[in-house]
Amino acid sequence: MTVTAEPITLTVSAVSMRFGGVQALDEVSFGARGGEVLGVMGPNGAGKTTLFNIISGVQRPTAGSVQLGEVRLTGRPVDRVAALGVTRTFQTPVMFWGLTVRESVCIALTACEFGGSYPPRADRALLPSGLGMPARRRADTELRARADAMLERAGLTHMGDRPTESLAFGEERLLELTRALAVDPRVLLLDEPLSGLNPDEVGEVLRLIRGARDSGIAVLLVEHAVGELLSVADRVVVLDYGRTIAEGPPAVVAADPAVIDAYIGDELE
Amino acid sequence: MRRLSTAYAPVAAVIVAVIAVLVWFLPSYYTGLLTLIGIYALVTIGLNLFMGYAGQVSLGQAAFVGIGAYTSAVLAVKLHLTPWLGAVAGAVAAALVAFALSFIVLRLRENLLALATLALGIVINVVFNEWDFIGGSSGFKGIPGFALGSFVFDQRAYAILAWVLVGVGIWFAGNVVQSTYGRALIAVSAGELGAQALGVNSEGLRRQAFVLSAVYAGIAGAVYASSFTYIDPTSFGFLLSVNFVLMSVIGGLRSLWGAVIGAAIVVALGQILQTVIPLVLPGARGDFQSFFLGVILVAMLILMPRGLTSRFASDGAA
Repeated sequence: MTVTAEPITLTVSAVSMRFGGVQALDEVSFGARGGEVLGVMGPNGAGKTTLFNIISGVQRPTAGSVQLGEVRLTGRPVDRVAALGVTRTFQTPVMFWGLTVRESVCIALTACEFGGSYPPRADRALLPSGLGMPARRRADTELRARADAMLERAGLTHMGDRPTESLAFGEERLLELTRALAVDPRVLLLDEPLSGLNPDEVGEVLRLIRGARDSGIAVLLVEHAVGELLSVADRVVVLDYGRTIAEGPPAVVAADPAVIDAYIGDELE
Repeated sequence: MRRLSTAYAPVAAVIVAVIAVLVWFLPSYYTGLLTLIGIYALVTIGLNLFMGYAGQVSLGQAAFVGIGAYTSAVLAVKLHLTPWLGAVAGAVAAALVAFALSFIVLRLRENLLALATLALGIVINVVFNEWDFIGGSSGFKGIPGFALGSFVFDQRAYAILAWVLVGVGIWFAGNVVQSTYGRALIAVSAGELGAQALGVNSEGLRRQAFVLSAVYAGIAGAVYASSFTYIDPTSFGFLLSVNFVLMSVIGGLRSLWGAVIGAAIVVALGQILQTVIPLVLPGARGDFQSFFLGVILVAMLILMPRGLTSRFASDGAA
């Protein structure tokens, strides 16, 4: 694998986050390359989700910054960060109740259609839609066909017409991941994408993660299922109490005494 | 095969045709009511896009109706501009005001948004009241009517005009809610952070929906001004805004036909209450009507939060 040939896509530089007296993140720095899966490990409360919130623009760090290539992401709202190419999923999948599975994917595809950001000016989406202009109708029909193709790739074939309210938990995870892939991101943040899934679904998600990596996306993966994480990750960063305690290939990190210590310490608590 | 509830254009065309026939047989009192229902329905269709689909709330919609009415009236009386252009100008004026205000109010959510729109509605009404150029508290009289060639609109023509606009309004809104754009409105109201993570600028989307709702209100206001030939600040007060919300909720927030049904029911209820209340409570004043409409609103929210149309049709996700 020629992972190192890829330039760094996402750079996290000395990011710190303090909530009152709690130092959730303490000068965390690392980089992620396109075409690699970077596992982010750490016991509960290590700051993994906070890190994802900071990268995706949900929260602003107390200090430090995040960059995508040369572009500074820190300080931009979530939708701008997404428009620049960084998208994410959530620990609890966020569903668009009131829409079908296919329609949910179409939202992502239409954002992509307009350069990553939606809505465009009113004369490009709202008015053509309202006036029922043939070009816009055709574009919407095309979006639906592409959404079905993406659903098929995720093993959600024939589920396009299902209302999202009716999905099982594992189907919600797969739909959310499909949505995220539909925006054609450069960086994909997955927050515990395997939790709550049955073995078949775990296999499906791991397959999609590998597919995303092979298409050149930088995948950042937070996951409590350590075995699966180590099997899919090309590199691992380990956080404990907001600090980076180890970084490197899975095999090396898994054997690191500091890492074992952090996890055993966590289990004793 | 599309369901009847989502075949917006054909059904709207049939309704307009029926009304165009009906007005030749109805007593003029009912023709007037029909016009009023059409005007209110138009406002409520726009409001449903903002409230039902985008999941927001506006308690100041009457102000946009007022802005449309005053713009058209002032241009007609002072500059002799035809109300056709006045309606366009009214829509543009309402849209501009909504656009400017959106930067303040759309930062807020739910209860705070309701309060902010309520306050803005009241402030705009104060402007109507205090600005002598537009008639102040005594309002505007003798507003010129719509005309086609030498034919000046009579009551029948206004009823037809109002309902043609309802038809066009429902056609446009129907196209919107059935497009990916309309789905995006629902996505933002259902899972804002999830939509933002896909690149959806939720505030921008809400802004467009808010401005669009003001366009509907502005056009309705211009028709109101010309058909009633007289407007004053009390025509566009807080209670009218509450009535629009009531129409929205009664018909079903996420339903375009619900807007029409809601408008018809609220106008009809108003008429019935006007007759019944003096019989039951001699000496009761007009305030009691608002009181009863308020009771109905609360009852609806508790008993049928998705509105009357939720029982037989839903035209959200087709």
